[in-house]
Parts: sequence; C-alpha cells; structure tokens
Amino acid sequence: MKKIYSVTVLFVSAFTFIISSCATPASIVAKSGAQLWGENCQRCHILPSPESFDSHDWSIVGTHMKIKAGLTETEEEKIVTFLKSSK
Amino acid sequence: MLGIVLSSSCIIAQEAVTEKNNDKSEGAEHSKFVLAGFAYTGFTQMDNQTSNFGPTGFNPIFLWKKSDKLFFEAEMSVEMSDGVANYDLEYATIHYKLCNYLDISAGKFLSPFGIFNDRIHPSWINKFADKPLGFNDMNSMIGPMSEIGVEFGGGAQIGKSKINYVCYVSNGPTLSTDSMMGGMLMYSNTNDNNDNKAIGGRIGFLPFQNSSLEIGMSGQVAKVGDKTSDLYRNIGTQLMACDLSYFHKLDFIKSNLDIKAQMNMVNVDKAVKYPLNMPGMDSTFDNKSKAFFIQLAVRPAYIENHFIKNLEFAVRYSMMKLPEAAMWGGDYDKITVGVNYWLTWHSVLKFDYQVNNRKGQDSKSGFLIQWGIGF
Repeated sequence: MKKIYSVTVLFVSAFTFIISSCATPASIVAKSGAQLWGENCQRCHILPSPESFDSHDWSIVGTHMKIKAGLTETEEEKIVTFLKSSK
Repeated sequence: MLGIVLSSSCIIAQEAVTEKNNDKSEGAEHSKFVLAGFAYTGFTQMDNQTSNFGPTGFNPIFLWKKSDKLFFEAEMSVEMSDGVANYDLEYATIHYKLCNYLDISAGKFLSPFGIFNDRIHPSWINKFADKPLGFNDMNSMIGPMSEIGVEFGGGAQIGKSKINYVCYVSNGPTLSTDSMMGGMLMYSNTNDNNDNKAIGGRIGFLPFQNSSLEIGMSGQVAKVGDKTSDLYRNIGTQLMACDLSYFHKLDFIKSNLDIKAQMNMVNVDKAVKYPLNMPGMDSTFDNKSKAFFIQLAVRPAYIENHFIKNLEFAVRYSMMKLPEAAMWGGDYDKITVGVNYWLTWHSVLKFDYQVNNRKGQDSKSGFLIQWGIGF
C-alpha cells in the first residue's frame, strides 16, 4: 500500500511540473472574461447574472466554481473580474 | 395546494432577493462568507401509487474564503420525503491552494466519480425532477456519492485543450453481508471497516478550445470487507466511470444543445458465500453492477419570443443492471421526457412524463412536477 501512495505522490508531482511548463497559445491568452464566462458556466447551468452577487461575493463564488468545474486559475480570475466589472 | 406551496416559495425567494439587495447597500462586500444553495418542491403521480406532493428539500451551501489560499465550503441537505425529515451533511471540505495547478482538500467531499453527483445533481441544474437510475436511492447506488478523506485536484491548459484532474484517498465503501443486502456496497463511509483506504480519481479532457466537449474517466479501488471477518476481509472492489458533456449553440434553430452521459461500472470480488437463507438461491454470485444515463436538452434561448426562449425540452434514458442472483438484483430502465420553463437563470419549473420498466414486470408510468431554485 505504501508503494501505491509513493507512486501516486510522485505521479502528481511530475504531472504538476509538466503542466506548469506548458506554454499557452496566444488565442487562449487573448480570451476575455466574458468569453470564458460564456464558454464555461453554460457547460453545467444557465449563465448567471452579474447582479446575482456583489463584487466581493463573486470572488468567493468564483473559488467555489473553480473547484467544482475544474477551471484553471486564469479562467477563474478573468471570469470573476468580468462579473465584478459588469454590475 | 401546489399553487400555495409554489406561492410560498416565491415569497421566500423574493424576500431572499430583497435581503441580498439590502446587504449590498450596507457594505456586505467586506464579508468573507457567502450563503448559497438550492431548494425544491414538487408533485408526483405514478401508476398504482397515491399522488403525492414532494419531495421537498433545502440545501444551504456555506462558502468561506479566509484568504486567497484557504477556502472552506459545506453543504447540508434537509429533505421531507415519505413523511420523514432527512438531514445530511453532503460535504464539508477545507481547501488549500498549493499552487496555481493544485489544491489539496480534506474532509467530506462529493465523489469525483463521473459528473452527475459532483456537478449536475442540484435541483436547479438537473434538467429533470428526479435522478437517473443508480444515482439516487442509497439502496441502489452504483458508485459513490461522497468520500471522507483527502484529495488533490486542479485544472490546467495544455495547448488549446484543457484538463482537470482529481485524485484522492478516502475511507471508501463497505461491503454489506446481511441476508437481504449481502454483496451490496454501502457508500455511507463515516467509519471505515478496515485499515485499507480507497484510492480514486478522475481526469477530464476538454479537447476543443471553446470548452464545449468534456470527456472524463474515473476510477476507484478499495478493500471493502470488514477486517474482523475471515470470509470477507480480502474482498476488493474496482469502480469505473466514463462521462461525457457537450454544450453547443445550434444557430439554425436558435437554440442551445446540452448533452450529458455517464456510465458507472462496479465490480466486487466474488465472495465464498453470502448468508442467504432462501431455498434454491445461490449463496454467491458474480457481483457486477452497471448504471448508465444519457440526456439531451434543447433550449431555444435565442428566439425573440419571451415565453418560447425560456422553454427547454429534455429527454433522458437511464438504466441500471444489478446482479440477477442477488436478493437486491434486477434489470431496470427508465425513459423521461420533460418540458422545463425557466423563470429566471436559477429558477426552473419542470414537467416530466416517465416510463419505468423492470425486467419481468409491467411498466409503470407517471408525471413528475418540480420547482427548483438555486441561490
């Protein structure tokens, strides 16, 4: 069992290192918060209105949704910034 | 009666909105705490059964962000069903951000076993008034709903594609060995029955840069027998799930198309015997179970007519195959056709017609109505 745990930890570490080394294409970097909001939120539910939460609450809800939907850090930041600015 | 229930819910929802607006004006933006969640109520009329209001439930979700790295979330469920109020802690998890690509989480968390339980089960997200076969009743769950343990997860961009990933160690399921449920896996894992911990995970792959398609694979391995039992202590289980999610705008009918599918497979090692006291029945069996659903929803969201644009048409097929030789075995399938009306982006009225089949028995059909609200 200890061997499985060790292999798992090693795999996760290597995986994280490889991912963090990947370059992101310009077309992805150029995506706006509005575009990411449209693409990602609708995968599970209807698009939420920016008025649903106040600015500070959106950063908390954004963290919740990042975990739930497996969003990237950049996606979460851009979507939350867009929702805050659209009120 | 339904009108009274729905009207009451409407007033409560309106009060919640008013309260939220008041909070804004009082500078609640400094709070690190958010109360979210969902609620539902409904009506059911099935063949040969008494028509019934319900189930009715309320799931508050508590979110607390201590800092950019430390986050806590918990969901309770309170449901009135069959005359009883059932309370449960769906999840209570502490998350710590290790880096941009990895969070560590500990506590009770929804199993990342496919997408239904983890992402789309809330009443305002689920397109139907009930859940697919194998994803609902605790006595016929095929796959876990939640885990108690530690998980690592995150999401990352890989070129124009994306992936999300979770792996975890948890108490895992336990094997029932009583005369009625012998061989069934029980997923209420508050206390482990052995020192072996379940290891599992899910990886989701989004090949297109618009994130419209996600394909996921999940798995879990665990020993499930009680460590004090000579007969069952070495019984292991292998769980596997495949899921698919596709969302696309159909310009030619001015609509959004949403497809979700998931297949769960559970294999439990064959036991020497289970204490079945029924004459003529085997005392052991090949313990394999399977559940599957596929659902399709079309919402004409880009049509100018206000009423039509808020409609949604949905259809779902689900099936569940349990070991035939088990006391709890059988083959089931269910087809549900529904029309939803979206009152707001987080409030939906669902009208479903359903046909339930069980191998060797007559079909049963009926209607389900539900109002689901997210907040």
